[in-house]
Amino acid sequence: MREQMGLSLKVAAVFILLLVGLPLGNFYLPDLMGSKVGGLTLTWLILGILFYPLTWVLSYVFVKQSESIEHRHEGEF
Amino acid sequence: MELIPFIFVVVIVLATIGLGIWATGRSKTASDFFVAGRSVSVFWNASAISGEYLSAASFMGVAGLIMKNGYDALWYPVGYAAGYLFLLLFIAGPLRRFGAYTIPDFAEGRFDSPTFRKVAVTFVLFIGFFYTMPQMKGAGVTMASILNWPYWAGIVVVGAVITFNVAIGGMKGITIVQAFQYWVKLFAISAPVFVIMALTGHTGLDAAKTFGDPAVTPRITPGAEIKIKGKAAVPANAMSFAASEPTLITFPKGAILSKIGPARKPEPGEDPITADALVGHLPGLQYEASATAPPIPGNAEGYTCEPGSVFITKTVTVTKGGQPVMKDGKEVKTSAKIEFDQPAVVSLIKPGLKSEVTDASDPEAGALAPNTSPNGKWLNPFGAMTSKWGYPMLYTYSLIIALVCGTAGLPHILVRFYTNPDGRAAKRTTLWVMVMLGAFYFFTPIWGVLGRTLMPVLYANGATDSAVIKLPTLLENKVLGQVLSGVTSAGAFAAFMSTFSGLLVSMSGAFAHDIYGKIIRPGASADSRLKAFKIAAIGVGFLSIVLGLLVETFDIATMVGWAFAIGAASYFPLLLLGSWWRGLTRYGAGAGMLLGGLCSVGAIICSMLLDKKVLTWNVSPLIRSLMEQPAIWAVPFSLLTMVVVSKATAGSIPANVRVKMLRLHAPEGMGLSKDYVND
Repeated sequence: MREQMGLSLKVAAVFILLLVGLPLGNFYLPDLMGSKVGGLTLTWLILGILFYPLTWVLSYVFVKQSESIEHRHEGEF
Repeated sequence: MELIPFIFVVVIVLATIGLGIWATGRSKTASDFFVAGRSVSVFWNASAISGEYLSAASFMGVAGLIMKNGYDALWYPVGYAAGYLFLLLFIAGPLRRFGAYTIPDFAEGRFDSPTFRKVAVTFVLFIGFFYTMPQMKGAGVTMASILNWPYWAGIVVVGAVITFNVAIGGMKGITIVQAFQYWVKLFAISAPVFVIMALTGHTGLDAAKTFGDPAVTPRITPGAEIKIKGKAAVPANAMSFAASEPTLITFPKGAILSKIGPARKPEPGEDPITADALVGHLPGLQYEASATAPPIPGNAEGYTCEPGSVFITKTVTVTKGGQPVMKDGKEVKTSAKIEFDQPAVVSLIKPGLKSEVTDASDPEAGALAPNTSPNGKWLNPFGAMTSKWGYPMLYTYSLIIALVCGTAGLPHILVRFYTNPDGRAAKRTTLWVMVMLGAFYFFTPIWGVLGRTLMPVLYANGATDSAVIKLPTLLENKVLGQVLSGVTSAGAFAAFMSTFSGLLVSMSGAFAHDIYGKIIRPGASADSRLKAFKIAAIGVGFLSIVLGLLVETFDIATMVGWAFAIGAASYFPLLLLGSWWRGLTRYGAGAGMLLGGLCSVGAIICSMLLDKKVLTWNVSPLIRSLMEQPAIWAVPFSLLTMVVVSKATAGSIPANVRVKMLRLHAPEGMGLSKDYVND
């Protein structure tokens, strides 16, 4: 449980960093976030498109790690 | 009435009923009814969860919000989809492993407290009904806009069909129906986008139109007749005009106004601006814009415009004690905001055009779209939506918290996790749900951008919600346009049908399983609980229809916001701490859930009453912002209350808390988890 909790917290930390960081970036680095990338601004590209695959990667890593933790512990009892 | 969209809607309704009946033949035991026999495969369960989750608010509302508010509204689809990550990380696995049917089962089983079950049931019904109301409104509005049915007819038809379906099929029936509806919705939101982009040549990335000059405001088609709603539809009865250029407004059938005031919200101390300073009234188009206009008295309350009369908007410099108000070295200017008392038809033209019949092919001939800001403000973060009360960062973060934590606290979604065979499948299902939802929400901003580029007229009467239905009709091939509009109408229908089914199952389940089976008749047999489920489904369905009829004047997004705010500050803390902290007591959990949930509801309702001017408190903008988006304080407050009260009542921690924690977290292979209910 402790190990699972640690894994959950680690993945959550990355996710929270993204959620907290993007508005901060928009506020303090408006020129960078407003720069044009393929017709869109950088911040539109991140929030409108890239955010979804990012969360998919995070969930995939979590599910795989979590299953391997469970697999290790099943043998112990 | 549009025939082709109507056929599409009939087909989707018949397919829903047919699938429901077909699935009923396979729905035998109580377990089938409540949790689909816990035998649904990961892929189909993920389709069903996604199908259930994507409501009318997601299908029509998100695209409309992005069209209306630009970047700020992008947080909605991202929050709706990404909220599942929290669910995956902290809740999905343990909740399934605990082996309970419903959240109230979890509440009772985790804390050995039948009283707590009652509190939890109350919240299931509370959130359920709050979330049902916007779905019902979505049904009524869609039917009204595509088929010209009266508002009540759409609600009664959709409500009756779904209630029938749930009452005969239970959860197993709707699992198949909802999985099917996810794919219908994904097709309906994606396929028309490609066709529209291919045939109009707009990708939404058109540099000159939307992502180009930040000072440009979209222009509407010259001479288009715009239907405006009356006072009953506040705030959709208002038109706010751009200050950068005057607009000629004609009233071909006349109009009764309720107010003319400045479009920019006045700050304390600024000089009042009268209606006459904001608009000039011309008796007809034969007058030049500069002709002397008859003055409009006061703030134009109850003012009647004769048929054929014309207004011209003026640009006014905002003053304070006679001196111009300055911002960033420039004088602050505003123009008129016209509020209508009765429904009316208006047409907007750029001044200098003397005739109503103008060259529609010249896009520069149209008037600037009212009720929207120039591209720059729309495109960049911290625009009109989050800057409303002057604290854009606070508003943004609070919105993010509400969306992310609220998703993890919606009972009709959580009940779905029990349909997984085990905790491992629950996690894999969540991963698939995130992929499926991401694929769907990816298309919503494209609709928003296309709406702004191709159909800015929707801004004029606050009809951005119907962008998904209306955009396909722009195509030159009218039949193809109707077919695509039929596809999106069917998608919208699938959206509120599937969400309402899910809500109906979770609420009927709460009645049959928690209230009847545990409180009224604890020893009830599986058969009699099944009967109770069917009766409850009909009762809840009927009540939902009645509630739907009452909320015509409320905003869909606002109502969904209520449900998310209650879920975020009540269930989310309960499930998070209940799964991971053994020190949580029933008193702590109950106090945190009640206080958190009720405080956020209270704040939101007060905020709404202030908007509608029922309450006239003088609230500072900071407090006002925190009332409208309460999650940033309500969620921590609820968590904190749980911790503090639990510490104070540490004596009531269940004696076997270690066993409970093992059941929540031990992998199935260890043989420790057992289903809470065995039928």
